[in-house]
Amino acid sequence: MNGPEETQVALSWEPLFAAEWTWAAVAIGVALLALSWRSSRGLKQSRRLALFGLRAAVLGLLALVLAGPSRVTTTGKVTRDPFVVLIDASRSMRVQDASGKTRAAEVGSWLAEKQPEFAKLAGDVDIKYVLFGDDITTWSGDADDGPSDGGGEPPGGGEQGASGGGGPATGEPSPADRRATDIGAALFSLPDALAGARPAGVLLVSDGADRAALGRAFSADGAPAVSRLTESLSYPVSIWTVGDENGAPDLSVSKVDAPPFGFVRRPLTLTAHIRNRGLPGRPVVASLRGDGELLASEEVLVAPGEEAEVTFEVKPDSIGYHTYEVEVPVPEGDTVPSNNRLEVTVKVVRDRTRVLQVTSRPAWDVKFLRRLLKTDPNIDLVSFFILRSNNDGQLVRVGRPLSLIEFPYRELFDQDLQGFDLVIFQNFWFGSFLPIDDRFALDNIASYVADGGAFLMVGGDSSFGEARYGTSSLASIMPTAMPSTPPGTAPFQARLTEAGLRHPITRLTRDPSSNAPRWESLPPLQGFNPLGALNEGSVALVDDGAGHTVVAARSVGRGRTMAVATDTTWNWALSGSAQGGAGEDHATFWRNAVRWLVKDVEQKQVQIITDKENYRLGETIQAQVRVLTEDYSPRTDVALVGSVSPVRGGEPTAFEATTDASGQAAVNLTADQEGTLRITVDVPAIAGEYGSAEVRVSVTDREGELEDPSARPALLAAIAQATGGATFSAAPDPRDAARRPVDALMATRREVEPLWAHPLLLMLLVLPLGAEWILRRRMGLR
Amino acid sequence: MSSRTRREFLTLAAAGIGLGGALTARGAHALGEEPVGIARLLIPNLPDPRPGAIAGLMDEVGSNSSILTSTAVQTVAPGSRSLFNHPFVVLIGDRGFDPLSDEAIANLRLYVREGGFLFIDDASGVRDSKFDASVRRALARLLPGAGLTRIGRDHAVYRSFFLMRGAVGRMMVRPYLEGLWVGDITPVLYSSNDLFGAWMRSPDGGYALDVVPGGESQRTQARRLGLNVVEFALTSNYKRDVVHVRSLIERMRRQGGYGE
Repeated sequence: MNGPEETQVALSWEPLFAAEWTWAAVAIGVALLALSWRSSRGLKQSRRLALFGLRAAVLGLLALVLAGPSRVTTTGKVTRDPFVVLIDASRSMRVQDASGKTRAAEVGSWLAEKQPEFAKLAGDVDIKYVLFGDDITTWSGDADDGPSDGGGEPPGGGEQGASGGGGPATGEPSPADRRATDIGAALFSLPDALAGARPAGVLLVSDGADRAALGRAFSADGAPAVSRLTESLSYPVSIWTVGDENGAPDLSVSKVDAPPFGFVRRPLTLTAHIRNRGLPGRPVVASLRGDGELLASEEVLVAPGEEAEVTFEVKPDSIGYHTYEVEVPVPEGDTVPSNNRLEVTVKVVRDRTRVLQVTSRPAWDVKFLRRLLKTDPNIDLVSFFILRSNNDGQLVRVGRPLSLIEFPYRELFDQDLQGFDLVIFQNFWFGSFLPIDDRFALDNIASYVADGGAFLMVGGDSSFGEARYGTSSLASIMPTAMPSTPPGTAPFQARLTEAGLRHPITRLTRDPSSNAPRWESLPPLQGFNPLGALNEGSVALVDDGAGHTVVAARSVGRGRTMAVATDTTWNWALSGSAQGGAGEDHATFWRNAVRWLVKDVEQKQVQIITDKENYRLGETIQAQVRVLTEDYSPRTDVALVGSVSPVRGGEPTAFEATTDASGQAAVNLTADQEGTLRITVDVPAIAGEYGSAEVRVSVTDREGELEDPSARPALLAAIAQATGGATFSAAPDPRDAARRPVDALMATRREVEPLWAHPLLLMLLVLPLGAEWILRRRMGLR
Repeated sequence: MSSRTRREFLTLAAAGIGLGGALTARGAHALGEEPVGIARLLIPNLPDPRPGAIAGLMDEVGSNSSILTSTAVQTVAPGSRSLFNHPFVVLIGDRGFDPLSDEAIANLRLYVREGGFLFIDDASGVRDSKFDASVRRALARLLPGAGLTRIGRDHAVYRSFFLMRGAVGRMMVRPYLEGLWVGDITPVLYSSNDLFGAWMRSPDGGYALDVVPGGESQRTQARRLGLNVVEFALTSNYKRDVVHVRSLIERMRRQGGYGE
């Protein structure tokens, strides 16, 4: 508050010379005094003293002149430094203590009840009400208001937290919705919040549940550390601790241990930690929900002050992100109900890929592919070889000793088909079962692929055009046309096409520059089924060196298909191993093929990767979005749009980005809502499901405000002690809070009038000088 | 190398459909895949005691199964790189042989680990023969620490085509096969019973050697085992796939055991 204009006059000293010269002058003056005394030897003592006194007076006046006396006239307005009532508005203030009231309610009642005292105080000081948590704002009736203009009554209405009502004047609880408590930041940033004014004093009302700098210092080194951090404050801070030091009674799910990822249809173990603080020990039932569905419950007994573990085992039945929630009931007396449940998100990946391999007859190519797939721990392989010749050889005539089983083609290509992730026809022709009609099976395979399945056809004399698949339903899903042209049998060197240089199927080496040479070093193949033109969505990956496609891949519908038109890749395995290391290329090629066909997550065109799956409230989610072309080269300068939304429903937060030269876009998001968040990305330039991706993360507030909302009076007392404030254990009279003088003159004009040149001062200097000179002459001194 | 013309198309197993009639042959030659053949390991001072037997076996396999076979038999030295052109090799002998060179052992070791299959047949007809001693000495160096182990009756080789109870041959020196294991795969099988002796023909077309003690029924069993070995070399342990085990168990239950 500014008052009328006032003028103040004061004396100031502004030495005429620099300090060293001034001291030199003092030294000279002392020497002159000494000389004067010495020169008066022989005179009567009284005369000597008179001369000495006059000389001293002269030197003293000279010194006064050198000191530069000035009269300073300041004109300005008197301002009044504010007195701040700093109120904790963090979520811990919602805790209900033993009194039966929440801390915020205690504060609200105090503000209302002490209105008369506040009104009297307002007569002396300008009161400001400030709320703080993890930020600081003044508290007025209007969120846009600056500092209040007088009047000391607590504002009515104004900023309300989740627990706020119609304002403190009505006795409603004070706001309590800030995420965290940072007392240190609040105290040191008060001048900024007060438009540069320095508080005359602060009455801090808080539970002291600080987990920021002061809280950490207190936990590490106790009250002295807090005092050291706050002693530089230039105003006294008085404190009133609200809340129970022993902590509010609380039963909580403090943590859920989960593996970083799980496998589909494999047991996944979740361990929940149940903590009991201050409640009677009794059995409680911990429930586990998965994606909203109740999965299990376990009874657990947690003694007061103890923590118990409950272990759940689940078997996720699909890949993707699964959110699990552990919840315990809210017993009577539980003051923090919100921490009785905790969510965690687990990424579930495919454990084993189910592959069906069928062939019209055993052959080395079949054996080596089966051998590879069978030794892969990620693959569940079922193979069917048509072994039986209908030649009635002697061996077959005798009895029924055959181990052969009926090929269950109806089941496999009907109801069982969807159970496989990949179906391989390796030189297989349904004509092996004549006189059956194979159209139903081929139709089903086409539908299976359109619905998301994967199909691989490997060459041979019972494959591709030789099996007349070019005129069947398979023609609609295969990467190329399948003409009935007779196959070739000549040897050839497999060569990568332009797309094959980058495609994940044909990537034999990590270094792209060495991939083509690696292919050129492979043992030659022999013969291939002729393939026709590429169908839509297909890429040719390998040819015979003369432009004839040998390997091609296609994304069709929601599934994928692949054609390998030769039956001699087994040479890469056995013959290749003799070349020293090249034997691995057979395995690499086929593993790449299987992974691509079943759409291994790493091979999607749009991928979102977050730095973790579980975050604390307020943390930054570092997400990286990768966008690839159909041949898996980075897709640069492509726009993407995304959103973050709570799985349980709520407003989504949108974001946009553009990929850089490496086909990636870094996006920082804020975990600003508790629960499971869904992060989705769409790339408009890529049609269909291949242009989108989704991940999930869980956000909790563990280790936040409500983890341990015990009041910390010792921390607050240390602040008061360091700054010269008062400590109140009960609701205080605000007038008793410490404060320094509040009024100060805000200068608008300042005049400085040097006095050393004043004629009166000069006269005072000359008189003793003249008197000394006269007396010396009379006494016969020079 | 000659290739066998594919005679018929396949029908379902006898338990299922029982259809007769064959389809017309589809093609005179395989696409690029060579017909399945067997190469014989060439060891110095170890002549082939059963000439023509391998060809006889492959002819039987081609006649009774869907496999396209070649009756031509190539020889290959164990230390040669061309060993890797033959996924199935046999070692047949009736006498002892000198220790294989380190290079040959290393080559064979790589061969069996990378998918090659070695079948060894003692044609001496004598237990603990000199050939047997030479084989055991070589195999001990081949996969140190692995060691020849007796093959159980539930091994895939006994059910790869025919259901069999155990090992047979022209002789019954040991009623079981032995093998070396790499993981859960048996890339090396060893017969002490002169299995190939059961196929060896005389110039007049009959079988050259008598089968002891079981006579022609034993010869039939031996021929079946030979066919099983070839099927096993190509299909490995596919019969152990869960779905096949279930079906096999049901069939065995119906048949009252292991067949005849």
